[in-house]
Amino acid sequence: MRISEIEKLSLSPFWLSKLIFHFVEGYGKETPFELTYMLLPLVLRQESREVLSNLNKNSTIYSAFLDHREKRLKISALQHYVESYSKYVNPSIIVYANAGHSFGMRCLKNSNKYDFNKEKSQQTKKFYKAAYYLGVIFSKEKSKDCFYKLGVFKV
Amino acid sequence: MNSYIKKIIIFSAKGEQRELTLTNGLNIISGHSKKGKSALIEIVDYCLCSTVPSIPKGIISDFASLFCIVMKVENNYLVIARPNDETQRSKVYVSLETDKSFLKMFSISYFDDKPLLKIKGAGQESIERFLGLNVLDSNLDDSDRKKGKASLRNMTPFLYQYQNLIASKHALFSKMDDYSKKTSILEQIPIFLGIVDAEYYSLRRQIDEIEKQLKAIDKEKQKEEIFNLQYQSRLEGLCINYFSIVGKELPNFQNVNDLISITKELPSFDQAEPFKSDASRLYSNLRSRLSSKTLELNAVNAELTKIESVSKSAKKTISNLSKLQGRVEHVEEVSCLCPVCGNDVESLSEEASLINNALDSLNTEVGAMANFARFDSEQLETLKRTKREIQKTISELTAQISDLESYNSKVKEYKDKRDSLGYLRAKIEVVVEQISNRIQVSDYGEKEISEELNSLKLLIQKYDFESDLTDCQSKLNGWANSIANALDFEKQFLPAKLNINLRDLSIVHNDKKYGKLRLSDFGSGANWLAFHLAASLGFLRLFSYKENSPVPNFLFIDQPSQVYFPRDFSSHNDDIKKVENIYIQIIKSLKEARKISGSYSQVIVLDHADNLDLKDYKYERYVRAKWFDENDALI
Repeated sequence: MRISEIEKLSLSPFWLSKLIFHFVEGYGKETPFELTYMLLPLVLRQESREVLSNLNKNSTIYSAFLDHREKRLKISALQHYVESYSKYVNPSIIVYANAGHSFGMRCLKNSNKYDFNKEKSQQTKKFYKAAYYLGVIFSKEKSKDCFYKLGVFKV
Repeated sequence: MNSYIKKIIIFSAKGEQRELTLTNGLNIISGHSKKGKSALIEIVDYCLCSTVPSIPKGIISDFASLFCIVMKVENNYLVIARPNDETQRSKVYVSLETDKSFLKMFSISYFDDKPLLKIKGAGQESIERFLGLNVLDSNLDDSDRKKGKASLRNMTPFLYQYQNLIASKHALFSKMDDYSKKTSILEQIPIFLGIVDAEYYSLRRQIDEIEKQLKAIDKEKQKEEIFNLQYQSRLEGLCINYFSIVGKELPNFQNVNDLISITKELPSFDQAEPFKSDASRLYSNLRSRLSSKTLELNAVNAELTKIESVSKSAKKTISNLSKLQGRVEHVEEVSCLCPVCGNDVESLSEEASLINNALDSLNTEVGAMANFARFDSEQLETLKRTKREIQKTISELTAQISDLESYNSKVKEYKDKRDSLGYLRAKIEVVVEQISNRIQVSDYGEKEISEELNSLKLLIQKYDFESDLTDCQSKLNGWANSIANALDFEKQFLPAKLNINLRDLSIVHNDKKYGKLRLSDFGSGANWLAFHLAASLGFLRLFSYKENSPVPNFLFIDQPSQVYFPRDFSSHNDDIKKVENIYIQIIKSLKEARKISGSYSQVIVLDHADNLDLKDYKYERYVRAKWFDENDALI
């Protein structure tokens, strides 16, 4: 099995579009599409995914990533990862939109509901949960504050 | 020893000689003053080794070049002569003649071939030896000062009653005012009385020394007891250790000697020594086998680790791939429209087919991995079996080695025991040697010493010092009292009860009314004279009575008549009678003494009195010289 095949499989827009789905689910309202550029590096990278999958409804960006030195290390150089992952974001949004969800006024909105707890694979469930709670903590901030607080200034 | 002065001779440098011949018994030399009467005492004293030249300066000393006395000592004649010469004053001629024939032609030439002896040394010692005074060392260990030899010079107080002493109320004898002289005279009285002699002092010294030794031995014994106790406990401890190592019981013992005899036959360690070289060979063999087996085990373990790490990574890959399988689904080849511009996105269709291919490839991969795992586990099983076998061998080897090691430690222990036994044995030997050395030292021959002491005590018993001295004292006092009672002792004090103490030469009269009266307590010259005559005649008699006494049996009495001041010796007044009585008593006393001792003592009276009526005794018989006329004198 070739590396390119593993890359195709692990970063396929069809798989990533599901993460957007759960992210929007957690956001709870129409979601500014630019936030998905931060979604992929935070959920796909293990160190930040571990943090996100352990959050709850009361968590904030501050309590998740900023109130402790160790937590701040988890998001260091996030700008770099945002740039690296951005090429995978657009196809994912296209697949998301083609799956019947709305992408009007540059906002994303799910057409149906889905609970990540119903996912059978524990591995996959962690991804969905992380994406969901990232949506939860982002939903408590203005979208530009989310970029600002996590040190991302360019998409 | 009976001895008296036979002749007093004075030689001049030209060979002239003046001589006075004396006999035993009473000798009266009568004459006026300045005739040389008192000089006789000084001449005799000078010949008897006086260091102070007391011969009066004048006619006598001008005339004389040699003073000589001839003493009859038992049946021999002792010739003593001392030069008057200033340069030879410290010398003396001493010779003993056994036959009196030498006196016939006696002149100064007699001394031509005689050696001059030093008075302090050979001269005095030869005189003393001839007189029988041979106590050269009267020191006793218990005395605090050196007493030295008994001296002729200490006898002289008993030989002369000087003119100024005969009626003195302060002193009974001469030389008593010098403390050290008095002390040595008092100490030597027993020697002068012949109660003790050189052998006595030698015996006393030996006894004292032996008693000291015995005391020291006693002390030593006490120390020894403590020492023995200490060493016994020490030796006991060592023996107990020794026997416990050997594994036997310490036999019963009573004292340190028992212990020593036990140590002489210490049991040895009878367990045979293990054959050490074989064991060590086996041990090293096992060791090398163990190390090779350990190497094999390490190799197997390394192989196992490799396989396990490969299989682990394979499993990890499988699990990772499986995760991918879980989240990637088969994608239908559908056309995708851009939500922004509405155009068909072709790249996504291609993407979808690529994903499907990759998914197929993933499934194939996972299947292949499962095959690998099976092969892998087979290999693992073989290796693990080998490992178990090696481990079993290793554990067997280890057990054997530990057996050997424990055996070895036993060998070591055995060696330790042997070493410690040797050490203990050496220690015991050292202690035993110390004790036996001590015992050798403590074998002082105490028994022999005690026997010697007993024999010495037997010998010294013949010197019945105390009772002899008491006997002497009572005799002396008896004689002195009989003389004093016959003399002109004051009537109110009669009968005289004189008590002369031989230990301090004090004289007291025990009066009924006044108690003890000393010489100085009396008032009259007659009383003092009576005291002096009684004491000096008493001593003379005592010395002649004691046949071993070395004191010459002569007594000079210078002017006993002085207290009565007889104005006229021709008229027969009371004073003259009293003087006559003195002479009569002297003769009586001498005669009485002869009855007991068998020999006559000599009294030489130098006096002014003449023509005395001595009743039963003829005065002229006793006169040896009369120096009344102008030409009559010693010189």
